[in-house]
Amino acid sequence: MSLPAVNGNTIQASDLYQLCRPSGGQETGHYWLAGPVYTSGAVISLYMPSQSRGATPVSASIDTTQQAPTGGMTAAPSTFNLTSDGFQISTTSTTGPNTNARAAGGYTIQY
Amino acid sequence: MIHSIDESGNLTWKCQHRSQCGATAQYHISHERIQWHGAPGAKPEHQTVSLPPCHVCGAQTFLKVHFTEAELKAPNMWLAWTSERAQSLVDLQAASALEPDGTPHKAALAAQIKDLEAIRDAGGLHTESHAVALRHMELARQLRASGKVPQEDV
Repeated sequence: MSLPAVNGNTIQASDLYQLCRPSGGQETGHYWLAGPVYTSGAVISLYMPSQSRGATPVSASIDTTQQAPTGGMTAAPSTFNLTSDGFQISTTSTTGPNTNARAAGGYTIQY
Repeated sequence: MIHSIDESGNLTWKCQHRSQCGATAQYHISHERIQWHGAPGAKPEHQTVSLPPCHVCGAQTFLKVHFTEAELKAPNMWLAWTSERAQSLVDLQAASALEPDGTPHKAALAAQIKDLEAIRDAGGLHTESHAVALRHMELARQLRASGKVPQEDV
């Protein structure tokens, strides 16, 4: 796929992969998880919608290379609720009270 | 995703974080970092199973281990034999008939025709993603059998 899109070019199947990932495809992006911790063990969570729709993911991976857990977040977050619409990134590894517990990095959804 | 799991609970895995890592590892399901993960009170089907962080890039992979019938029929899991594919087969066969023998294009057309005919003859085709999903479900079964259960089951 060539970017940016230009009128007159033929649309290839691969141009539409981001809308519905094929078998073996991946979607990547970044996340930033942050929030206040009113007490130790409080949940900090975000939902990450995927661009792809209709394809069933098989796994998701995350790192904390952009911001290591800090400010009351004591461990890297986890992912769950993985569906064709996206996934949740969340943690209960928190100590509080703290005002800005956070972690950030890249994610990859494998299809 | 895991690439294999045997009946004894030994699994092999290749890190695919950011399409760059590629590190391989082998673990047994008893590894302390292979655990269920989910929000407090989450249903088992909403939970995932974590693998140990990658020893090269540090990323951690969480596996989807519960799949509904609809999820197993998603376009990346099941290649259905459709009228569009039937038309594609006709078009490819026509193009192949016009292509001189021995050209790379002829060989490429032959490969595509073979793939489509396989889907047609089977009435549809499960993809590698479907095989991965089955391996993940097997992992979940073995974890439960070993005593590692989702939080709600405790």
